[in-house]
Amino acid sequence: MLTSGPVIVMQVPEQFTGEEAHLFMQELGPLLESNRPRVVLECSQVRSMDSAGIETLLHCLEEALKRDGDLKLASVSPEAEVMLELLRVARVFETFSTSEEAVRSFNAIPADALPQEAPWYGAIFGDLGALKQAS
Amino acid sequence: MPGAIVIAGVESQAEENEQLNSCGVSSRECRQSFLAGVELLGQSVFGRLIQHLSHFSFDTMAVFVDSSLAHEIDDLSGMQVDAADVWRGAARSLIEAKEAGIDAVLLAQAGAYVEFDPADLIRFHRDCGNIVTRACDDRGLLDLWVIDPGIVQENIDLKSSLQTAGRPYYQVHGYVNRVETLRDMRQLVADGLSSRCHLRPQGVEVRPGVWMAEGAQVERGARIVAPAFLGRDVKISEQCLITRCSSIERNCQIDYGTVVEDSSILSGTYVGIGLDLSHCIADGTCLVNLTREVALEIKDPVVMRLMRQNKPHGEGNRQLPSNFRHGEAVLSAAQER
Repeated sequence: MLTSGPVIVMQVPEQFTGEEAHLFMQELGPLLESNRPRVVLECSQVRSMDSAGIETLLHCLEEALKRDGDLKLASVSPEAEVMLELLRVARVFETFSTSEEAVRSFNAIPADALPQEAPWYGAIFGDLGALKQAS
Repeated sequence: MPGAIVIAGVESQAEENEQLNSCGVSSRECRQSFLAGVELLGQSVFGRLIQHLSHFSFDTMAVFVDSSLAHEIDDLSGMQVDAADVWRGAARSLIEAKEAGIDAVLLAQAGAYVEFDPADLIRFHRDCGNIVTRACDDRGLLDLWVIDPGIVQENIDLKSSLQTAGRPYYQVHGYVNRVETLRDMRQLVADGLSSRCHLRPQGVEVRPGVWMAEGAQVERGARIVAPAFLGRDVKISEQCLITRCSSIERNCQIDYGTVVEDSSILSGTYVGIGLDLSHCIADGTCLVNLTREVALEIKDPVVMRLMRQNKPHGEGNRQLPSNFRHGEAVLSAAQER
């Protein structure tokens, strides 16, 4: 059974640099301390982002993953996209074109919640096991 | 006995669109900047134009530069910097040519990169018996004329007179790049490195397709994959990869492990450690991504910075025009095409 709470959606500030990034982290930090935090960062407003901003995103992702949660990006502005690519972190984040899509992705049924049917090869190996025993 | 005049001014060509239609050309935006002054593959388009014309036997050659552009040009020796109007300077020069008995003067306004034969253009002008002959290509008119100085009077409005010049136009069949947008600039670099035009990098071809200028250093473990150009005193650190028609202009440094792909790094730019530059033009603290059509100011000196004054004229160590930060101005023309 899943125990995580609701998905948190937060808007990343337009100037996601130095001090702004620090303030953002102060706001988001406590939310990441919950069990299995599920966070969507909406990046459509981002016009400027520096290495401090990228560092903050990576730190948030790390905190979320440590607690078995995840952090996803949504509506990433071209400016933010260029910076993420420039600093080679674009592939680290799962990105979605809208926040709704990102939220929905959290609610997808996890693999371990699916009914476990016997694998297709079960019957074959089952028979082989019986043959082995017989021999 | 022909003469030549080259002018470098920030001009608009939009007003000429009516005439352009006669040559089957789509509309263009105003030329808002002097991209022809930006060093590409070791030399600016403006510098290449002067060099190209100087190889022909013109009796006189005058160069007029708008004072607002003077700081963007490396070597102003032999050029006249005109604060008022480069066109007026050109008109004065035409009158002097008339007095000296010169029968044809080639007038080129720096902007587009045009591969043409000046001798053939002047021959065409003489054969047609025109007063003014203007060059064009498949896309429209070019800022290249041959003028009979005999018609030039004192106080002539040369610019208007030339814009009203009609047919027949001289058809340029060689390579033309109008260098109106940053995308055009990148295209010119790619075409030069891929030998799609006669624009040659200023350096030695150390391997097929890899050009290096004097003083360029490549550290052990760095890879330069053709076609690529490294300008004068460029430093490429260990584990870097420079490829896909990238050009690293004079005095740049690309730091450890960075990949530069399909990009131009303009002179005096430091690019930090472990970065990925793709489809970009980088100039000091400014980065333009041509795929996403975004221009960014990088304020983090660890990522990108201007290394030092690389121009003798103090101001304007940045190569791209100041309006490019509002990227749209320079990018949109390409977008609309």
